[in-house]
Amino acid sequence: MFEVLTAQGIHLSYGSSQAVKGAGIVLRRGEIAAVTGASGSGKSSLLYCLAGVLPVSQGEVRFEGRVLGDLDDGELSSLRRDRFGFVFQYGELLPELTVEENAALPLRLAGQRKAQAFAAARDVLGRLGLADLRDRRPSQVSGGQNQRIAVARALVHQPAVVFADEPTGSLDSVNAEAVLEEFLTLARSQQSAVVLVTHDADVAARADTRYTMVDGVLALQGRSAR
Amino acid sequence: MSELLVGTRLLFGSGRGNRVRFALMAIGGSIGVCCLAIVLTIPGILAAQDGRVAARQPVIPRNLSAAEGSALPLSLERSDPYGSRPLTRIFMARGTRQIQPPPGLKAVPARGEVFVSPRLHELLHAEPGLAQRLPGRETGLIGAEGLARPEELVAYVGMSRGDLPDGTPFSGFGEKWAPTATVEPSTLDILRFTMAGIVLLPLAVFLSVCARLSAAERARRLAALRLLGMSAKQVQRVNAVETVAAAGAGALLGLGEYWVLNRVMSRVGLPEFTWYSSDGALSSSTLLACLVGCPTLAWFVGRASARRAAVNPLAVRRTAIERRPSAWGFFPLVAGSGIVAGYCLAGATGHAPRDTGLSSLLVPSAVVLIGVGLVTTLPTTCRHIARRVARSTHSVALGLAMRRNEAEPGGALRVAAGLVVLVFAASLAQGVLIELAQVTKNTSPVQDYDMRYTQLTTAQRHSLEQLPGVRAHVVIMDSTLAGASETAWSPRVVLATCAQLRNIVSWVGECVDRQPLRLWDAKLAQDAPVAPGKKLLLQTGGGHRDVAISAPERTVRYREFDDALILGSQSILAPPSELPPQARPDSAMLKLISASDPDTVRKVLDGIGHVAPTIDVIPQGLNVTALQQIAVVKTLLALGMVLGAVIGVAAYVVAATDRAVERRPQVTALALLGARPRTLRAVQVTQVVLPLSVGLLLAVVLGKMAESSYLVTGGGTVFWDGTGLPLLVVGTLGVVAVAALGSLPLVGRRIDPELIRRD
Repeated sequence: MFEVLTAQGIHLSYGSSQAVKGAGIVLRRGEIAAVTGASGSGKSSLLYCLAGVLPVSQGEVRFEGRVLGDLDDGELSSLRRDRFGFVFQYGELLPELTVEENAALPLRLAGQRKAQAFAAARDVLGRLGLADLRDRRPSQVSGGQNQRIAVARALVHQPAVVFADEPTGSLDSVNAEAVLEEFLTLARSQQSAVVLVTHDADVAARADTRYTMVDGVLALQGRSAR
Repeated sequence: MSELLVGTRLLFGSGRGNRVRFALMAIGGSIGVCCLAIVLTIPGILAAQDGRVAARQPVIPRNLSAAEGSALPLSLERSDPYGSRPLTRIFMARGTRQIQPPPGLKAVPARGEVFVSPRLHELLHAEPGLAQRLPGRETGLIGAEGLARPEELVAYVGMSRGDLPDGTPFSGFGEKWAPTATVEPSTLDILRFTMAGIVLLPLAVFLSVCARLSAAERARRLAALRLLGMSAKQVQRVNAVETVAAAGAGALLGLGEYWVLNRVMSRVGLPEFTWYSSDGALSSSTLLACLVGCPTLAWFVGRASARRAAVNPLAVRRTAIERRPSAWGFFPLVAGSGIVAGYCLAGATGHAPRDTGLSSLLVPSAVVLIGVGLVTTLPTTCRHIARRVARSTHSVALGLAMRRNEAEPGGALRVAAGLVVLVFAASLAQGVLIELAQVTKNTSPVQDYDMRYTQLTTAQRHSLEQLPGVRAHVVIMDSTLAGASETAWSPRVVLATCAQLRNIVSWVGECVDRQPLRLWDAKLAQDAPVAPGKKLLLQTGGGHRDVAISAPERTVRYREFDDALILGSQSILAPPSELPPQARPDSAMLKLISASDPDTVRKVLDGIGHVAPTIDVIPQGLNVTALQQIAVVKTLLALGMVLGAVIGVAAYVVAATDRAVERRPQVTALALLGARPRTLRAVQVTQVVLPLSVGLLLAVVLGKMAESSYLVTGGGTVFWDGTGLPLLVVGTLGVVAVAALGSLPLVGRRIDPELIRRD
């Protein structure tokens, strides 16, 4: 399978404390990789290193052969806009935008015309069962629906990699299960790779590849047969 | 009590961020309180200055016998311009009776002694020509208790009784009122009102902004308390405790800032306005207003800002968008602009109201209504515009900014209101200045100086006519119609040659010397002409026979300089030789004419002072007292504008920063989604510029209308100030540009994912 994202020996320090110590990862197209670990183990820091948001102090991260550390701010923004998707723990939808506008945001940021972007957003929202909510604001829908909208926003532009930081961390188990199922199904159908950071072993069990992180050290835990 | 404890606990125990916010609120409040103290202290400073002027006024006893009069000292006060400032010369001649010296002196000056104010002392060194106005030698300085302000130009000049024939006997010093107030009471009222508009309205906005810092974060915290079981009132009180504590600390800090500022600024002074630091001491009412008023205002603002969290905590916890602002906000604006529109219409159609009673109530009310209305309509107007633009635009940045303004119109209001109110008040301040300028300035290219002919000796007259800077001189006197009653109108007679005439006016037609001519300026209002051949009598006094001249038929056309009225149309031009050399006509005035530039005026006045130190000179068209007043008013208004600008800018900075800080998680999310930095900057600028532009546009339009209403009802002839408009527009555009640029640094360059990981 085609490798979209690789990281080798990456380190990240916050002052004197090392958040990530020599982590390495290989992510293939359509692969779902989960990183588990206790709070403060450095898994979110690793996620943002892989996304090129936090610059690594040692090692390198490559996306489709390009070293992220060599890219300037504009190129990194472009990468995040066009090739990456993000799902945050609390959704981080823009409260002033409608559901549809939130979902269409990556396409609009990428310069796509309003009508096309909204059509794509409506399509994804429909696949996630949110078509009826498109004119509402995030404050007018439930927490689970908000997180689905965040998933729609992450996948609307069919990114190569989706970075998900505790995507179901703010939801109850029923909602979490449903959102995760829809998220991963949609990602797989689009052949988008996913880096999933979670402290929940059950969530991680849904991934193709599982890593654990303890005190900044990343270790491969296992791969599923999928 | 529990609310107080919880509020205090939240205040000091909520981490570094909260303490920083508290410090910001307190510092912001202190700037506001300092400005408030300045505004409230200004009337006190003016009163103290007038009090010292009143204290140096000679007390003139009534029903004085001749013997008593000759025992008392004499005084004569002359106030003439030194540039645009009055130079007050108090001539004194000792009597046989000893009296207390004037304030600031140890004794009544003896003949030849001159005591001057410190500023005049400096000027005498810099410009020795000025000494001509002060006959004698400088003996000492006048103390502060004898001066209105440090920069005042005052001199006590000791003379012999013989040198002061017009002097008035006096028995001591100290009257209740100064002859002219530093700022006239009516002007002071206007000044107070304008200062209130410039400073206090933005101040109220600013304090509200400070009290609502980190509104969203605090609202969530308060909503949590409400959900945990606190009553709505308790939640509001908890928030009020925080804002009151910050306002109280700000008030103390602000008074300290004022104390330092008063000390420093009283030494440095403002242009045309200086004061002693003791005059600027805080009065008990000012202390009360600052220490009680501001925390009280903060209490109400604190309670009001917690209302939403108290009433609907769930919506706050879920960051629901703001409720639609009420349409009632338009009421004050509609009412106020209706009134000013009516006055503007009346002025434009030539129906300016004569009754000032009603106008003096309506116009200020309209101004206040518009000021309040500008603030209350801004959220609705901005929300409406933002909604429409967001729907129609294809620009991502514009769409995001507009959605933000649509969702949070209150935030837009807090950002823009201070500057909007300031610009509105600035246009009003322009109106006040125009109104005052109409009565004080000599806008003519020539300046004339009138002196009573009988108060001058022949030698003095000749010297005055030769003074450097004097371009012409004429004698103007009254005439009487032979055979008519004394009250019957008759023309004035101008004793001058054709050459002199040409130096006085801008244009003269065919003029013939050595014969009377009728003067005629087509542009001037015409008195009824005297029939040719009628006999006009000139009373020459001094035991001489009256001189008779025939009203001439022949006319000399001339044109006065713009804004000058030296001769008057239908006056009779007669040869100077008509007046006998030793004549002492009571009605005659010697009129000197010079250019009107300040240097020439000063030089001529110095020269007059040298030739005839105690003569009463009337510089026509130059109201030096009013000039001094307008200088003070201008300075105070400028001070108000500076304070207003400080408050407006501070309100903007605080509100915009606060908005940006509250917005950081969303901006971080946007950056992570790949929004370009320029998109983020464009969003930031646009969401600030829209409410500001809308508000400022309304402020300029309504401000000019309100200014015009003020001018229409002010009794002046100018109803519309077109010349001030470009300055106002440029200033307004400058405000928008600076605000837009100022908002750019609020978009952080570094993406910090931590910002979206914590609630």
